[in-house]
Amino acid sequence: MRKFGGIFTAIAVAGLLAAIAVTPSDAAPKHVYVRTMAFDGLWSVSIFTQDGPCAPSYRYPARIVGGHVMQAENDFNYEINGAVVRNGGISVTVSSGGQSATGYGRLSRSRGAGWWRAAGGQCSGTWSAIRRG
Amino acid sequence: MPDARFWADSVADFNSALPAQPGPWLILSSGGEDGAFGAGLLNGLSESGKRPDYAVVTGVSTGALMAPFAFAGPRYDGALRDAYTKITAADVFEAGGTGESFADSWPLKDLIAKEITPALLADVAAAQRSGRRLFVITTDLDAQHAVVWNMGAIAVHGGDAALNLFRSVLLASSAIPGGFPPVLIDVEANGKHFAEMHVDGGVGGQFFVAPAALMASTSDYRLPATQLYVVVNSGLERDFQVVERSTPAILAQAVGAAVKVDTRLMLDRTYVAAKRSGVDFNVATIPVGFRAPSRGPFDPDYMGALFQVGYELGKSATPFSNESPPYPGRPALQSPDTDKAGANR
Repeated sequence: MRKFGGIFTAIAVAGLLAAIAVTPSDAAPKHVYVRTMAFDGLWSVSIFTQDGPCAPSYRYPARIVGGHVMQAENDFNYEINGAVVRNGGISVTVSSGGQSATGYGRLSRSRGAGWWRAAGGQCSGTWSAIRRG
Repeated sequence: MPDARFWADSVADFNSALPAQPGPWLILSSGGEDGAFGAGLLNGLSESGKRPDYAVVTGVSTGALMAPFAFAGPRYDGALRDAYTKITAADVFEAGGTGESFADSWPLKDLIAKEITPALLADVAAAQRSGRRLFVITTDLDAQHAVVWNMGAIAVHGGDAALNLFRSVLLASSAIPGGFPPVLIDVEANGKHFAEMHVDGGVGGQFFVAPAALMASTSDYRLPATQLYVVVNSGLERDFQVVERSTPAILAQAVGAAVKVDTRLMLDRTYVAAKRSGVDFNVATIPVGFRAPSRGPFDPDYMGALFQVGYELGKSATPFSNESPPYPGRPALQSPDTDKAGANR
């Protein structure tokens, strides 16, 4: 039974299976694979599991600086690495505790969406993002 | 805002805030996502026609979040159901430290703003004018003091300031220290303005009936209620699990254990106070046999299952027990699977 401290557990496993990513070949053809600053800022990414035993949803902050996607804060529970290109195609991998996940997607000026898959393929789902600053 | 709040241990302020006439009191406990149980129970009680207009409703933490809906009446049952069966963790918090907590509760703040509408505020104000009372408890961390917010009195003021304060109090009441950031509430005292730091009302107790001095075993105070209905939104049984060696997981298991102990002691004390007062004691708890799996925090499937358990109980012939739940025996011996067996070695 989940209990009072459920959120702590959530944080403890933060990053295990979440991902926002896009492979450049799908969302950002090589001839436009140029980083952009148009999406720089603070984003909030919601992860939803559609298949597999992973947690149903999580939300993570992410910061984009010079087209590079990184953690919004120094949180050692998980690591985010990725890039966004001029047409909004975004490629990010989230890793934690030796596990990682990647996915595909695209950003607009204020929103984004895509799908993700955990390394090993045990879980997959969708993600959405909103710009917060 | 005059009469907006009082210290939770102030007997005089408590007595003056109570309704003029005795009536049934509804007491809603903390419990996080397990508030789905209480939401289901209230829906079931409405369905079976066994839900009175409570003279007093009190709420702590998740109990605070559902309290305005419970207070405003069955017309809000649908909103209550949706709030506990259709949300996900992404609607409640964002992972990542804020400097004040492990997670940020801005999604919950947005959700509260969406659910606590001016129309709901007006309904709460109307109930306040009719003599009923809605109390929500937070903890003033600066003062290490529990605070009772008279939400009806706040609602009567109306306008944006009242709406914002109403929402802030609900957010504060569910701000688990360390988990969610505290809520700063602007106040004025002795002509000076400052921001008080408020956190989860559960710090001062998992539910609130009356000031501690009145609930004490040595008190001869008689609760001015006709019936007490206590809804416990958390499991009371020990929950064996091999604890991951991380700060959040250790905190979660430790706090979870403390909450069970606190809740049981408070139930026992409330039972005695009710008997002493000649008031019917009623308590609803999550059935011991409930074992729905959960894939993570605020799992809609888990919460939906728990809502349904509460709903069926609410519709049943005996939604409440008249006795305080028995204390558990030894925890069942578990057989952790191979992977987990070495997790805490």
